[in-house]
Amino acid sequence: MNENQRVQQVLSGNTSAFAYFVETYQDMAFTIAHRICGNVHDAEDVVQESFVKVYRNLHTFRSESKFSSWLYRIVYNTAITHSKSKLWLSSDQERSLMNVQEFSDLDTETQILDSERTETVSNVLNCMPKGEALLLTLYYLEDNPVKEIARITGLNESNVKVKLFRARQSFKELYTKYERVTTF
Amino acid sequence: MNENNNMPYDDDAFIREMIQGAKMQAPQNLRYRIMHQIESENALKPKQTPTPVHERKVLKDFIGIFGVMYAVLAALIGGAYFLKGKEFALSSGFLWMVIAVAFVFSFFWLMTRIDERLNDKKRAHHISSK
Repeated sequence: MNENQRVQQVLSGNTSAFAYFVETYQDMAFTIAHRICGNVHDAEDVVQESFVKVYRNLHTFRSESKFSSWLYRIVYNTAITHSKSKLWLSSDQERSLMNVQEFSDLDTETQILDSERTETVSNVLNCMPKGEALLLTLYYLEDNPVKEIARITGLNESNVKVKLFRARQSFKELYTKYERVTTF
Repeated sequence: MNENNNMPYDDDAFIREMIQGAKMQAPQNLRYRIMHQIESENALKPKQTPTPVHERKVLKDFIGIFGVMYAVLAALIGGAYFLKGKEFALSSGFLWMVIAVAFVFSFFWLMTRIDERLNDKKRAHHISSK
């Protein structure tokens, strides 16, 4: 059974059929919400609110677009509203923010020394500007093409490409720094 | 080189490998929280199907208004035929009178339907805003 058929099932009154969508997409939705909100508690609330919104507005879903993109767009908007923060900062603001977070985290050297690679990656992503970390998550975790990312975030495609390029540079730069700290 | 950036393939593969290891898991109870909220909301939602009482009311109004109309027309035609004769009953002046009576009753029917519809809308709005 494909997703459009499942959507029709839910629309015809079978509420429990919606569990499939929750089961399939909750991890990625949670990851997106966490990248924007920055904490588990708010991310949980955002994901719950988003799925309820999706259920209520399922009749407006256009089957020609991907269900995941539609859902992630709702999660993205809900998280932005919930966190009341600006996700896309100017590049100067992003650099200064990254430096502050970077140094404050490097102070907790013992924490980093004990962490495994996964934790290091999470730490690096947490140190990056939220928007950049989100782009990397959408691009590499779900293999979303630039077009889909543009649809989710509301940015234009060339903007996504530029920001992705910058995000990769930041990630590499920060990861190398973390590695250096753990080596010494 | 990757299609979307100017980064060597190795870097792209390296970042992909790193990020894919960092996928977060939603808490176990989140799914139950979501489904519970959806099912509760669904159970509390008023059903939108028209009630049989409403349908019966429409039929009652229809029979009432047009029943009276046909009774009036029958009395009018009968009275004209027996009191003024066949000639008058078939005259164009009398025909216009019959049409006028039918128009008045049809207009009254239209008004009751519009009123009913507006009341339904008001009732639905009242329920949804609660």
